[in-house]
Amino acid sequence: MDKNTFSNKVNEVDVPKEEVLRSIKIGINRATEEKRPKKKKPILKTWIMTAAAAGILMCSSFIDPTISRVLADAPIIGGLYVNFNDMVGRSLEKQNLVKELNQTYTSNGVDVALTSAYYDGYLIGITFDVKGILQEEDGYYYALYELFNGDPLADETKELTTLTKTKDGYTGHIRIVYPYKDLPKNDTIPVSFEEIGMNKGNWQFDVPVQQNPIEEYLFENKESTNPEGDVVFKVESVITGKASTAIIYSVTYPKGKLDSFNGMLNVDSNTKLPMGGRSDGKIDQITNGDKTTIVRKLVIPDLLKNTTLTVWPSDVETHSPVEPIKIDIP
Amino acid sequence: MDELSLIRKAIQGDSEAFEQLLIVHSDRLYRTAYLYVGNRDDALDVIQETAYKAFSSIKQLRNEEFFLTWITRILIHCAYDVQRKRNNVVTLSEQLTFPRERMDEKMDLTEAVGKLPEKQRMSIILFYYYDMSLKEIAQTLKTPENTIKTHLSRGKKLLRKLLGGSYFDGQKHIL
Repeated sequence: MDKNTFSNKVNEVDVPKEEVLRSIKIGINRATEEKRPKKKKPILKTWIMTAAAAGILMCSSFIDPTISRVLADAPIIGGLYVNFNDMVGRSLEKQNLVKELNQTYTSNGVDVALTSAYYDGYLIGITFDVKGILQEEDGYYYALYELFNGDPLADETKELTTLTKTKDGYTGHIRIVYPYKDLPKNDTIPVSFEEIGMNKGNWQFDVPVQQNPIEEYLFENKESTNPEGDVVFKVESVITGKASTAIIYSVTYPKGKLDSFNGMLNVDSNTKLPMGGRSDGKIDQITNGDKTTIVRKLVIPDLLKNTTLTVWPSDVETHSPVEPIKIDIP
Repeated sequence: MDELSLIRKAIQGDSEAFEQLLIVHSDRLYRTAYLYVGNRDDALDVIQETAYKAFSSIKQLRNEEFFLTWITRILIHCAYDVQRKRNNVVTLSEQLTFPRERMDEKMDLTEAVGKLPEKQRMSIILFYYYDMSLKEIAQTLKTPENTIKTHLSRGKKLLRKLLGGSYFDGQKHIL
C-alpha cells in the first residue's frame, strides 16, 4: 500500500470538530487550574498539622507494624481529583463527598498510602500516594493491582494504572465499577497491588467505603424483541448516585444462541451525555430451562435528571436488530 | 501568527497560543487517537488528556521544531493509558480472534489498524499517516531503528492477513 492510499483512507474518519475543540479546551483548563499558585498557609499551622499527622501515624504503627489505618469522616477539601481523569471524582469532590483515608502498607521498600475514596452508585474511586524508588516503563510509572481477590464472578479484577510524579513521590488513582448486582450501603473492597514501578511486592488493603445516597427507578414492561422474537431485551431499572447513573438491563435468548453476548448498550439522549468514561459489565447470569438471561449494567459518569434515553443492545451482539426502548429518568 | 511564534508563546505559558496550535493539528491528532482506540468517545478522551499533559509539561519542549513529534509522543502515551484503563479490556489474543460471523464481513483499513498490537500499530501509523522516516519514528518512539523495522514488517504482514480477501475502494490492495 502506498502512503497516499493509507492517508486518504484515514482522512475519511469523521472528525467531530466541536467536541474535539471542547476536549482541547477542557484539557488546557485542567492544566491551567493546576498551575495556578495556591494560597500559602501560615508556617505554624502547617507544622502543627505535620506533627499531628506524624503522631497519628506513629500511634497506629504501634498497634500494627505493617498496616496502619484510620478512616476519617472528614471530607476532603481541595483539588485532589484535578490530577486524574475522573469526572465523577471531581464532581463529588465539589460536593464534599470524597472521604479521606489514611491506610499505609510497605513492601519491598515501597510505601503505599491510600488517601481518599468515594462510592457513588456503581462507581468507586480510590486515590493513593507512593514513596520509594520506582522504574519507568515506556516513559510511565505503572501500578498493577487486583481487586476483589480476583473473584472469577467479578467482570474485571486485574488492571494497570499510571502514576504521576509529585514533589515527594508519586500519586495514583483507581476507579472501580462495582461488579456485583446488589449494592451494599457499606462495603470493604479488597485491593492488592502486585507491582509498582517495576517493583514486585504485595501491598494489601481492605478499603472501607460508604455509599452516597442513591435513587432507584424500577421499570415495568420496558421490553422489546428482535423480529424473530427469540431475543428479549429488557430495561429493569436506573440507579442514580450523586454524580453517576447506571442502567440495569437484561438480554434473554435461547441457550447457546448468544453465549458470547458482551454488551455494549447503545444510548441516545435528549440531553448531552458525557463523552467517554462509560462502562458496561455483566452482573448476573440466570439459566431457566432452555433460556439464558444475562443481566448487565451500563454506568454513565454523570448524574442524569429530567432526561429521556433511548437504549438498545448492539446489533452485532444480538445478531438481528432489537427494537429500541425509551426510558424517562425524572 | 506563524506556528513557530505560537510554539514560543505556548512555551512561555500562553494558553491561547497553545490552544491555537492544537487546533491547527486537531484533525490529525483526533484521527491518530481514533486509529489507536477505535471509537469516538475514547479518542476524545485521548485528546483531552493530551492537551492536559502537553500544556502541563510544555516547558520541557527544548526544540521548537519538534513540536509535532513531541505532542504525538504524548498522544501515544495517552492512547496507551486510555486503552489500558478501559473497563472492558480486550486481550491481544482476543483482538486477533474474530467470531466466525465477522470473518465474512468487510473489514476496512481503520478497523484493521485498530487490531494491530500496540507497537506495530504506532509504527504503521507514523510511517504511513505521518509520512515519517524510520529514523524519525525511532526518535519519536525512543526505540532503535532496527526494532522499528521489525514492528513495521510484522505490522504490514498482519495487516495483509487482516485485509486479505477484503476490499476497500473497490480494489484489492497489496501492502
